[in-house]
Amino acid sequence: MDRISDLVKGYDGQNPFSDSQARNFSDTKIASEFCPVSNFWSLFNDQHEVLLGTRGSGKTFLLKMMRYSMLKRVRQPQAEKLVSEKHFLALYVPMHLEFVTQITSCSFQEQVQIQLFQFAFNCLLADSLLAELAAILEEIPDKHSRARTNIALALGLNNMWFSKNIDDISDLSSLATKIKRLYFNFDMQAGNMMDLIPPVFKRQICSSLLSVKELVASILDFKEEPTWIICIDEAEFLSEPLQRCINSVFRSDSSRIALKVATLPYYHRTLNTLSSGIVVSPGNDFCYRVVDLPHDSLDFVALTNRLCSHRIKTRFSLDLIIEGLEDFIGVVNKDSQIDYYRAEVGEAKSERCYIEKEMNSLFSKSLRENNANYNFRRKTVYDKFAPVFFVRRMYELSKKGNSKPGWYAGSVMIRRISQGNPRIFIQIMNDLFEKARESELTPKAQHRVICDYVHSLCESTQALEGYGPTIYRNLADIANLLHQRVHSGTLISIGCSFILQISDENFAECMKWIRLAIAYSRLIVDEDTIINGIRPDTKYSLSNAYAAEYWLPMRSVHPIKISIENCRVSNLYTVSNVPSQTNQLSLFEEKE
Amino acid sequence: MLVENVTSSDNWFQETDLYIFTAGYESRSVYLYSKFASNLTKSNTLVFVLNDCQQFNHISEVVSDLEKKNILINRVNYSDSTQAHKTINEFVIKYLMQHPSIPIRVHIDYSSMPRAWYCKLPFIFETVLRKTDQALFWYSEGEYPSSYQEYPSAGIESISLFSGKPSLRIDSNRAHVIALGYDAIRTQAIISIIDPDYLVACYAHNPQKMNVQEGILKVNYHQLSQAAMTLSLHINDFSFMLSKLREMANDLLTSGDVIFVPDGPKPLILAMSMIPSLINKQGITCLHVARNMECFRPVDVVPTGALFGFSIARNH
Repeated sequence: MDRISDLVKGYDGQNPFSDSQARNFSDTKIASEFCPVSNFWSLFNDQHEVLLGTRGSGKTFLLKMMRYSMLKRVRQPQAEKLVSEKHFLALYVPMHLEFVTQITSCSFQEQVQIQLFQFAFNCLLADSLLAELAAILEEIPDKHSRARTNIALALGLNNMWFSKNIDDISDLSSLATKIKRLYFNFDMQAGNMMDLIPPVFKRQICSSLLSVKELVASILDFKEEPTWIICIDEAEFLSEPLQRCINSVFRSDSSRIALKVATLPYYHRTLNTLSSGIVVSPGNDFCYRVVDLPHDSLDFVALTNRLCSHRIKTRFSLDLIIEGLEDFIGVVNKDSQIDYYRAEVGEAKSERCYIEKEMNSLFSKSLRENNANYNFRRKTVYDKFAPVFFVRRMYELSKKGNSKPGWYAGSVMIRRISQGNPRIFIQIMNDLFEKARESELTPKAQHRVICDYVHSLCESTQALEGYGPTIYRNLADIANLLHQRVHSGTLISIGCSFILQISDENFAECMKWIRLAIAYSRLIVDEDTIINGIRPDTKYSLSNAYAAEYWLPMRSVHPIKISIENCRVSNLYTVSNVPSQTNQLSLFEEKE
Repeated sequence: MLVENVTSSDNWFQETDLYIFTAGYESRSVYLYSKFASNLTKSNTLVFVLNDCQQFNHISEVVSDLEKKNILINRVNYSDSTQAHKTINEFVIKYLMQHPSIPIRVHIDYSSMPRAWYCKLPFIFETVLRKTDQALFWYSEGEYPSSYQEYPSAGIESISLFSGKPSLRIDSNRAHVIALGYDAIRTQAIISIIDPDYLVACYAHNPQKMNVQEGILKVNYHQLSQAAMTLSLHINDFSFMLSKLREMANDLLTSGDVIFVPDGPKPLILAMSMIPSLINKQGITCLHVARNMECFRPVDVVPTGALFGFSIARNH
């Protein structure tokens, strides 16, 4: 088997997959790794949208790439069209935790916090606007003309934002410094100096842009006023009163301004606006859009291939012929389940007739009798039961002495475990790369790496914010129950999906941990559930990482019903002070 | 602000000294009190008893002892840092006014103070004290139980900005300096919220007790593997801790914002919390993570007998 990962053996340079956090990437790196998914181009529209995506699903990447300054680095027809037409200009406004908590930590009343947020937001937006204007100016070839436009813009914006009589700036750069000075000289903790703030920065969010956008279009000689897209990232950190500021823009006549608000599922917590009694309506005032990708979508395959080839080439050689993940880790035949099964049990035992015979011996008596009468056995029997059968056999194999199968391996499996999440994919690739430094990335070696990764991910569930221990225990209980059904007794058609039966009095409390488990990719639900909320008959699936940890078929068929009364709700965890004598790691050690 | 390490043998408690401490649920909270008790009077002692801790035996003994000496007991809520600061401020100012020409030393035992209280104190004293006065901060090292149960305390709502101001730079990198303790689950929960871009892991331990360092490294194996850089500090050398953190913050600031998220032993929490105000530059901030107030489980921390101190004084 040809694997580019063989080149890595003995390599002692930096792991190209060591960073998985888009916020920290330089603009150059973001642009070079950018692989536009089909969702991306459709974001350029006039609609307010709330983008819902799990941690690491690529929301930041999408929003950062929408900016004019980034689009012009992309050599693709759609990007070139957007850049030349300038019908849409996007500004990036991140709601970093420290930025938000400087306001929410104040002991002021809600109304003052809203005022402070409007001020801080408008400063940030103004700064972002100046950065994009600078990028647009770079396009003007004649340096005199560029300098004149720069000064005209700077003076015009200064007049609109501050006072016509104050002429203390010379260009966009000095205006940016002035905005920063205004922001830093304001003491949030004191909060009582709002009189010193220019009125435009105190009004509702986006007013710093609203006040100047026509002027900008005029000075830059745009044929028509563009739609300004305000990309608000990390909105999960906004408290309810601050989210109401955003909702108010959704509800108002926003005049060619469209908000794209990225947040975690279930973190857009209110539909209220700043006006009492007025609420926003999803579907009318704004739309929800789920940005998570299915693991087997063309988008995710293209994105992972791009990430893999780009990072490996950048580290080793741009001339290296590597088109994607398969080239790096190798392929077993057609890379399907049966190929990895065959590699473990041999040719004879992986023949369909042999497998059917084995499966038949595991069926219940009634199923065995019924199966004999089926006409289309491939579909009704083999396809239905083989995934469960394979997992059973491979699990048995893994329990034999030191034998480890090469089961959780291959590109399809890596993408499945990644669950369509680019960050999880990069983290797995990071571990695979480390393994490749010391040994060949055979399917067995990949299996070991993936098993370690999913174990670590499941253990880290305990540390999720707020309800980690509850999620950890309940998912372990559910997974163990499913494991019993898969591996004990007769062969049945089952996957990793289930329906929770929750009593009315427990429903609200259970929703808290269930929503968090969904936001952090431990539980998987359909788009409708992410957008419209959890219902009593919602079908859940354990994430594929959980399915791998508990040896469950990665499919969402035949959900079993699990009563929530059987689930534990204790949110306690044990902190252990590891004695120096032990050599055993006991992170998340249970002592119940 | 001048910061110097002091040891418990340095001129211990003098006649004109002041003593401020908080009696809490940890038995170490009254360890230093037991050393000073014979010198304490109504005029030189300020004591806080946390409202939710009065049922503990060691507290009732101390309260009874203080009452015999007619020392006023300030019963306050854990979360009422504003009231605590006001009381301390007024107490010290009054005492200084009564002793206009004598250099005064204020001993603060912060071993069991809530972090929102003690992290502000150095800056309160910096404005209150005269050039000849000193504030001495004492930390009584404690032994934690080998295992105990906790509720998760880290949710988005429990995180607040303690000091500093974030920058307005949209594209700047951000480095998160996160302190480690024994509660690796809490640390990981914090990491899951702040989702760090560039993680610097930081921990402090008593250099005389290597098993403590080993324990921290073992329980935080996962966090350390995520870190781009690790900083190991000594709990008994506050001055160095402060200067090292300061140096690191200045270095990281050249690449973007620096966000401190303190945890672990109190001297480390204090040092990390002080950095944004000491450096006073845009982009350096400190976030505090509050404890779970709804489901709080007190854990008794018994004193080991070791005291680590430092003094602050105004620049001459």
